[in-house]
Amino acid sequence: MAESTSHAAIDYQMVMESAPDLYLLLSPGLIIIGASDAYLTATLTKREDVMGRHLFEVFPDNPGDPNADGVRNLKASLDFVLQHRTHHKMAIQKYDIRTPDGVFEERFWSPLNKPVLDANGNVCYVIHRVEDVTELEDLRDVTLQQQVKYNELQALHKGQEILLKKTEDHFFAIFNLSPIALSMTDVVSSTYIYVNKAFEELFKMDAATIIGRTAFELGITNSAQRSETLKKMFESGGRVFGLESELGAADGSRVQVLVSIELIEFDYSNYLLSSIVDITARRSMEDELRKTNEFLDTILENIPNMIFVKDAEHLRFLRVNKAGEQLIGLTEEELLGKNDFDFFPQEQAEFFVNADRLVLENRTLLNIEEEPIQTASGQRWLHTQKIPVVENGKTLYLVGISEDITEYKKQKDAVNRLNKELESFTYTVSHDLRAPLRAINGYSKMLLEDYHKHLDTEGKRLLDVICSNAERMGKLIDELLSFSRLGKKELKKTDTDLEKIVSGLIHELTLFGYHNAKFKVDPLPVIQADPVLMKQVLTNLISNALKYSSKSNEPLVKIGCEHKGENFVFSISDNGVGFDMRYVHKLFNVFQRLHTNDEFEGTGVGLAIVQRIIHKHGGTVWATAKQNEGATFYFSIPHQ
Amino acid sequence: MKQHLAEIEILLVEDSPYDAELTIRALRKSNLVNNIVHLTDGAEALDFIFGEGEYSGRDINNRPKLVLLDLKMPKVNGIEVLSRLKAHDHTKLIPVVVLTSSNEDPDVVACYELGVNSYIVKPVDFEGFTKAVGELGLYWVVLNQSPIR
Repeated sequence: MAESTSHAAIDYQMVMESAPDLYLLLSPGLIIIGASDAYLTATLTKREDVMGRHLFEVFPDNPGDPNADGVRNLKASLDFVLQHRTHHKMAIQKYDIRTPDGVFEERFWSPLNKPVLDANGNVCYVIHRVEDVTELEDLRDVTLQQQVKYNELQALHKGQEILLKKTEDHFFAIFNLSPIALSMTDVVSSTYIYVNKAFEELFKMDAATIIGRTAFELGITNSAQRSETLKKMFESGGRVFGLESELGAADGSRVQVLVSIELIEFDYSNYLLSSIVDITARRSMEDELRKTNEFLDTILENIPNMIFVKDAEHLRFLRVNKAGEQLIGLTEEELLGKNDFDFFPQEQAEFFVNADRLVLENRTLLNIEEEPIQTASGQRWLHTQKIPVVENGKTLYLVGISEDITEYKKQKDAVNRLNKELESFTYTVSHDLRAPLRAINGYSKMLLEDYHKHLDTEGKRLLDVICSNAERMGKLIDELLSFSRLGKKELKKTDTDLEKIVSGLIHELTLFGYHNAKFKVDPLPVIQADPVLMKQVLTNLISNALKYSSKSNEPLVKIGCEHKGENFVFSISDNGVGFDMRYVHKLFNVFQRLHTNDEFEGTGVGLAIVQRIIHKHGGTVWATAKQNEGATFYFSIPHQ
Repeated sequence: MKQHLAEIEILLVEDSPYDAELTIRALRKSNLVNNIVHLTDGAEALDFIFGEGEYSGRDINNRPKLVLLDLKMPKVNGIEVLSRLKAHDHTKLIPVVVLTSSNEDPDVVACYELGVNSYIVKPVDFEGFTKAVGELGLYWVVLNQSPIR
């Protein structure tokens, strides 16, 4: 046989077919257009059976192996080669071979795909070269190298072991231990290659379920989310950072997450490394917080008093509630970030701001009883409390609460004005009504003195009547005045020894010989009361008791005290004429009398004064009586 | 021009002729006072004391031993008269007693602040009035040693 040395004469087809390695030549459409004999032998095929047929038609996945991924991975690799026009070495791949009798044999391959480019750089062929590494499975006690290869095969068989071999050990550890859910997916098939513990826990699935499937298949994402993520990745050059999303777990629950995805490359393969942070708890906390804030907001906004918050440094409005907006006549938006000088007259703004500064410097609440404010609806009056808000020793805010007291103040001013008028009226009464009485009385007396010789008994009696009535009217005016004055008199409470007051009174009354009565006085307490007014009460009641018992044979006045609940109850009783209980309700009215002036002198003001004083002390007063057997007057005074 | 050559013992300033008559009667009754000058309003009283207006030329060193001053008067009231008297060196040592109709008169407090020496309430009953005025005259005109003399 003549040796062929000419280049042109070399039969490349024959050479290729005879090559010891396992080659397959593919068109860009993945049609088999050539194969080495070794390849055909290794794959148990015949040349005439494979030529011109589609790769995957000839080499389908083992239908008996549910995990078979040979077609998918090989296709991904070839797609990569066609697209990138560069070679791609696949990881060790299980790809079972169909025997002529239709049974599949387990095989492991180490494939490399390389494009053959024409002058223009277009792919015209793809060379698919594989090594059958199946036999390594059966070798046990062979060379160390073989052992390592065997182990490699075992390890690399699963996705996570790709990592173990191809990355640093500590990276692997971090990957596994990370509390953040991490996953690696195949960039072409989108199937999970590896997931860590946190990932399993987050989606409540175990790795066995996850590996080899897509997120879409597992119900973790939906198609919309998938395209959204892909779009983001495309836009950002293969990277997604902190994308907020809601994903599904196995039990149907939804998890709120932040997703970051990075495209990484190992050898000739591309993977997506995803990290997923579970923010469900944070979200629900945020939700809680939002609800709490909304709750507080609603309350704040619905409080009918103006509430505002200013920052401590510049005294600008940070918050104004609805009542405040209505009062000032500006919206919160118009108010925020501005200070008092932006809305109020200079003088008024200074007043407000000075009060604010005082509160912030002293760190104490300031109560402004009446504060004028110029509003859209004219001058209003506020009762304002300003409160400093201190956090960690720093005064941060000033909170103001203002009640619109304009109407109340109007009424109060009206009452004050009426009181003033009343006061000047009383003054006039005391002055002007008494002057003519004085003249009537005085001139009658002068008549009696200077002309007594010319008057007979009847004439003198008539003049006496005039005098005594003028005097009586004077007394009425005096008592009425003192009664009305009691209304505005302020209590000056102090320790008041009633026993001392009573014994002093009895001494005075006895000294001047106004009575012939006997007294029986129980021990009396020291109480909290106005001593001047209490003396007035006791004077009036004891005088009454003496007056109304003065016609009895043996007048007896008893003064007692009892504890009843939170009160002292005092009683002053006599054995005098008493009164008709049918009229007891009239007893304490001003100018009300149950006896005629002829029977017993009086103006009818004494008991009204007693009642007014006791009421002022928070007590009550009442009486019981029987006609011609005596009367008892009671009054109560609270212990405190 | 009125002349009051005798030593003036009491100057009564009182607009009510009836109250004035009663007061003068009470003072006379006590037999302690001889020379009483009665003027009917505050303006006239000031003119008299300071020798002005109708009283210009009057010897202002002839000062009353006591001024009895009603508070409620037309034109210049008792309070104004009192404050003028107490503000002036020449007159501030003259004892002034105010007459009032009521114990509750808020003007009485003002009078004490202005340095009044005493006050009496004009009571309705004549005996009380006579007694009060009599005692007053006895104290201020007879017993009191004025630093002026």
